[in-house]
Amino acid sequence: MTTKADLLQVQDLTKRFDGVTAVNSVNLEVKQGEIVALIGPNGAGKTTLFGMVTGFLKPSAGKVYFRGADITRMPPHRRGLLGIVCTFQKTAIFPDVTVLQAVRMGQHRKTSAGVVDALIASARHQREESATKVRAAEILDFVGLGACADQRAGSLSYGQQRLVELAIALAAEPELLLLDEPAAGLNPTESAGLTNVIRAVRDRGTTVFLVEHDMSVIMEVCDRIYVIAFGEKIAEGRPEEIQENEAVIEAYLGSAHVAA
Amino acid sequence: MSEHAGAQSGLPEPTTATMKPAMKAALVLIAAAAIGGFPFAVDNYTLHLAILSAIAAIAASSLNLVMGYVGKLSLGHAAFYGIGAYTSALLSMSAGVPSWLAMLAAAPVAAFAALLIGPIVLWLRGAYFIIVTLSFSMVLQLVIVNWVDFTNGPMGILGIPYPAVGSFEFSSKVSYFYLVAASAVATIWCIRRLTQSRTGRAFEALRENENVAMSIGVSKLHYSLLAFCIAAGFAGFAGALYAHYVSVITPEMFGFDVMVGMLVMVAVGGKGTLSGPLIGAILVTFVPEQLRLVKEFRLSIFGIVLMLSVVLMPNGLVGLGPVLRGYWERWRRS
Repeated sequence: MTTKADLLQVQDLTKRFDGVTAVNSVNLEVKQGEIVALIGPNGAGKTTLFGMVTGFLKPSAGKVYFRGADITRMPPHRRGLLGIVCTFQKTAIFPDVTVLQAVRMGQHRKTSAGVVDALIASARHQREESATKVRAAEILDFVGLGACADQRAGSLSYGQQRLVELAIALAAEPELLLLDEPAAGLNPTESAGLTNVIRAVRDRGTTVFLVEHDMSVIMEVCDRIYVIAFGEKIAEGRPEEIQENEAVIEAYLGSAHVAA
Repeated sequence: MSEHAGAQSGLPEPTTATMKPAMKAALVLIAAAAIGGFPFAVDNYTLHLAILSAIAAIAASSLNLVMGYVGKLSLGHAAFYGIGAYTSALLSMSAGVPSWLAMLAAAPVAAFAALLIGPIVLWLRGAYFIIVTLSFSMVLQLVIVNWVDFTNGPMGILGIPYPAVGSFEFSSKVSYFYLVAASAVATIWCIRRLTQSRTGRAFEALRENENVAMSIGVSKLHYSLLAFCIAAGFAGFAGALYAHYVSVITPEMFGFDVMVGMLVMVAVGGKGTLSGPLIGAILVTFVPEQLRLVKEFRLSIFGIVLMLSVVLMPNGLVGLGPVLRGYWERWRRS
């Protein structure tokens, strides 16, 4: 049951698309301050499950709780305001503005000036305008993009754009950061850098829940792992437990294992 | 134009905020002197076109807020321009409201119309949004044409009075020029303040990537509706300025011609920039007149200009600046 330490709780979550069950009655929890991974073979339903946590997909059944409150029907931007901020599997950034400006946009939830503030240049507006610039520069230094602040975000390399995406999400100062395959397409150096950033994010108090294929990233940073296959949870545990788990090995190696 | 094309505006312009205060003050003084002296340096016909340009600049800048900053291509914007014109004309003529008050009332009435239509259309994406907004203004045009008792139908409204404040009437071209120039400056100033704020960043976040914008807490409906209503308000005010200047309005104000004119101004000048719509408004008002273009060819030529500008300069004339500077730097180095 929901305890105080559970930041996120997913209860019997199910998603059916035209008769195909993509996610079937999955239960999981993420506790405050953890780094938790969701893994599974291609098509296991990881991104679908994620979509229901971020609100971009509506569950067919089941519940999602955040800090004990039911958020199952809450639209994505309201979850964003609560502090559930996600990145996307396919790199998604604000391409046609400078990197600094993109990260400033990310601070929407931490600022509050409205239209009237902007028109009369109120004290709040002025304070936030300078604070967001300073904060965005700090975040860019933190992810290692300090030198790119004035470049067009869309002009950066793929690896750098993934970091911009992370920087935008971090600018929102999330309570729960959801990362969908953050290491996909990164070279080993870049993914090692990402591993450090994720750890540093957690050390600054943000809980992280990620979907990932890159086993080196998962084994290095995660406290706990959930494994799903064909939409069902087949295992959960610490990284070293998951590595030895029979069901997991079979799910990943599949029929080849049986045929051998 | 696809939704994608709407998301190609350039980097933020270098703003006066980064300039030294002395230089900023000097620029403001020069601009004020230029506007102040303009009516005395030109003939009556040029002054007339300048007045029309300033009104068009307000309308185009407001369209740009939706098209360039939120990235939604609204083809219904002419409707708010028309609503403003009819509101002000009917209030001052049938309801006996003082004309200056009627003109000011045009803005909130147009914004209110946007508030009613916005939630219905704003959740539509891409082509669907474009088609529905266009139909909205076509339907309104039909209503205006057929509701003869109220709007005088296709005959339009004649003899709309000049605005007057107390005993002063803006009946001369010079005084009207000052009125519209001040209005255009105020509009662009408001839009500048707005776009360089948290609200403006939320607008741009929606233009750049709706999903990312939502994930960081930006409400798509709230901010697109906000931009839609503010833009409609300014467009309504522009419509009122037009109505009281030319003194005749017809249902054609809601028409496709007016809409395409605004669209060309924004696209040619540069969407998502502050100066783009102003430059576009001046060009689209002056150039066809100078070329003595026959009215029948106007739309065809607009169509070609729009196509060429979208293909050759997706960021408009303002967007050519950095491109040309790049060529110049390369040429100098070689």
